[in-house]
Amino acid sequence: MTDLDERLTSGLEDCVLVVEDEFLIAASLKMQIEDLGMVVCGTADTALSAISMAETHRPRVILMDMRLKGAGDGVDAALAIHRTVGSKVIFITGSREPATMARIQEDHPAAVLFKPIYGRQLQTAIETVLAG
Amino acid sequence: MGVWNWLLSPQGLTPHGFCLTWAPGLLWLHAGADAVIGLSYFSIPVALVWLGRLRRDIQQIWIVYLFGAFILACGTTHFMSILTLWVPAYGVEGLIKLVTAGLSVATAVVLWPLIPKVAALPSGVELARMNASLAAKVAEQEETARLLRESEAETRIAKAHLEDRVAERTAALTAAIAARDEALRSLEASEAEYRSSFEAAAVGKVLADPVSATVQRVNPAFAHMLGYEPEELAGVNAWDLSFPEDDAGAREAWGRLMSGEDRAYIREKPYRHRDGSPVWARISATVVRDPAGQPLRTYAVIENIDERRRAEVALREYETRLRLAVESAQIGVWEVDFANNQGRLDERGSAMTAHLLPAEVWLDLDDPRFGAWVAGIHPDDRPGRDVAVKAVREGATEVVHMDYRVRRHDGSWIWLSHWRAVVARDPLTGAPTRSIGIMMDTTDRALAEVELRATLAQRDLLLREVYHRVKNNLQIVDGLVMMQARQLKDPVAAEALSGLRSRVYALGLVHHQLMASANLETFDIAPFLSELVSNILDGGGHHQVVLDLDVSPLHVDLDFAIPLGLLVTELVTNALKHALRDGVGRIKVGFKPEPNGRIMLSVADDGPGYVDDGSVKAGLGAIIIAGLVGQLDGVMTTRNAPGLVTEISIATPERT
Repeated sequence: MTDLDERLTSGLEDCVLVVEDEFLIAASLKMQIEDLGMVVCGTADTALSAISMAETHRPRVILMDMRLKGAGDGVDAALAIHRTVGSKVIFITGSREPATMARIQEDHPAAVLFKPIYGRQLQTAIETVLAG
Repeated sequence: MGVWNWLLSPQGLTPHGFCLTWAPGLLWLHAGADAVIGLSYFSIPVALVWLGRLRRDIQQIWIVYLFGAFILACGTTHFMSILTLWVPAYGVEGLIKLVTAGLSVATAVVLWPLIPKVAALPSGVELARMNASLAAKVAEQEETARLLRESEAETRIAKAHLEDRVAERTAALTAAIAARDEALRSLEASEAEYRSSFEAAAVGKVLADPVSATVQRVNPAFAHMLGYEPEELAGVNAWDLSFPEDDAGAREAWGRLMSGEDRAYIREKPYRHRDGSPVWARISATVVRDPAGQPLRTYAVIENIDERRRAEVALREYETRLRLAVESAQIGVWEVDFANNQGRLDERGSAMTAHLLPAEVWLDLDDPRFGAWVAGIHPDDRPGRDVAVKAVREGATEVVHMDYRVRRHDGSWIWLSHWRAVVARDPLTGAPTRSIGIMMDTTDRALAEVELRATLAQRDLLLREVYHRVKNNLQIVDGLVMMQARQLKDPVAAEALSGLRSRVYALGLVHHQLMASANLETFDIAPFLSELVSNILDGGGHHQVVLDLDVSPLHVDLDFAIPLGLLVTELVTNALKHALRDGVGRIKVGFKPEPNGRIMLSVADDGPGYVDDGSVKAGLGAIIIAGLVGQLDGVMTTRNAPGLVTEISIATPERT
């Protein structure tokens, strides 16, 4: 870890920000995270709201959907949050297109999950990210 | 004793000297005189013999010898007289005198008739005269002889001349005879040659009677052409061997040959094979006439052109096809003559160049119009086109294909598909001398391809979007199920909903694989099954279950993958739920092609095995499994070995 990383991550909250524009998916993710005994600090459905909520709550982990309502996508939001907050971002995507994958790699994701997510995949991913 | 004694024995007689009283004078007188007489007498026969030798011409010379013998006998009597002076051999003396007497009488008898003849012998004067006249005659004869000699010389010369002429004439005759023999031989050879050329010729030959058209002789080539032996055709009417009814004008043309109007009868027509089928042949017939001009026989040479004709028909057909192809495909045709460094385009080809290059005109390849044409080729396409043109020109390849764009006057591009092939090469160097090319305007096709590619890209985009949305919707469904499950207090119900989630996941994973595949329609089943089963184990927290996968690669589509994925999900879930309740054990999943063309799907665990004790009711899982096995045309068997082994033989999906 660099000093910057250290500085950034040291001031993060033990909560998870869910960025997902589908309400039902966002809600189910929130429940699963709470079932794991973690706190969800909020859900955002656009890139802009995600950035602002991340800056507000400084979550340790962000579940980031690739496609979002409005301008910008998950990568745009993640890149901005990475610079300003430093949260670990787990991308969740329904796509597997090379273009999307390449785009995700721009942000050096902590993990990538593909929809539909099954059973303990989410738990495993979050635990791995927090342990790393 | 006796007569011989009497003759020869002197006993008892007294020598003649006794009569003379042995008086020496008398004795020697007698003896001397007798000796001289005897010697003289003896000399005379010698002279006579000499004369006889000299005058062999005398016819009566024997008389001279007779006279000689008589003288010799007389001489002998004188010597006997000398002997008897001392020896009394009077018997011998008497005998000799008797011989002398005989000879004397004979001589005397012949002498008389001889006298007149001797008297008639010429005298010396007469002889001299005769001699002179003889000499004259001799001279005359010599003259004659000389003349004769001269004449003989002349005769010899004449004879020599004659001999020369005879030799000359003989030589001429010999040469003439040799020439005649040679002519005869050559005639024989020519006849033999004619016969053999008739018999052995590869072309058919026919001799026929000109009036009746009856075949007299044919050669094997003609007979075999029609499926006969030569003997079989002798006596046949020549018209019966063809189809004159189908050959209008044949008889008229034959008539013109007979009348002498035409010198030859030449036609190409079908002949009738033994099996009735037509055999095309070319006949050239001439007629041999007698000095009066009457036709004697006809001689025909008949060449089998069936193959050639078939080839011609085939060629015409091929040309027609080619023309149709060229017409229908709107093909322009190039011809390039490397030998003369010229090229030519047909009308349509010229139109493709917007008539920059003229139609049907041989243009020098260095002509600036060619340069202008090449300059219009798209710079991106020119290197490929140059390589292809060079390959043909240098003969490195037989056929090349080039696609290139050419700028039109209005600035738009047309697409040309250009094939070029070497059609002739120099027989010595092998260098191409001619090439033919066809050129098609593929602008429409090229544009359609661009459009098609765009459409395909759009389709791919849409498909991915659909898959994405499907997955997203499945995630929503999963979320709903999960939220519903949280509301339930009944663990059995919660368990049921959890089973539902694994099925939803299997559906999502199929679409996930499809999205990653190149054609968006099929994907490899091996990584799919691997990911599916691994995630079922991970998702359920079964980290102590060992997974043993033996899956052969196979490209499958959605219709196969969804039921298969759901089936594997059910079987693996069952194994985890019933056999490996403790969360420890091993699961084997197999997917292997079988020799019978089907596929064997197997799921096995190392649990206690299945015992049907009636405690387990057939639930939703069992219904789903039976239904999916049926959908996959499968046959399922289960056994305990000792863990439960489920084997399902399923039909291999048809490749689309």
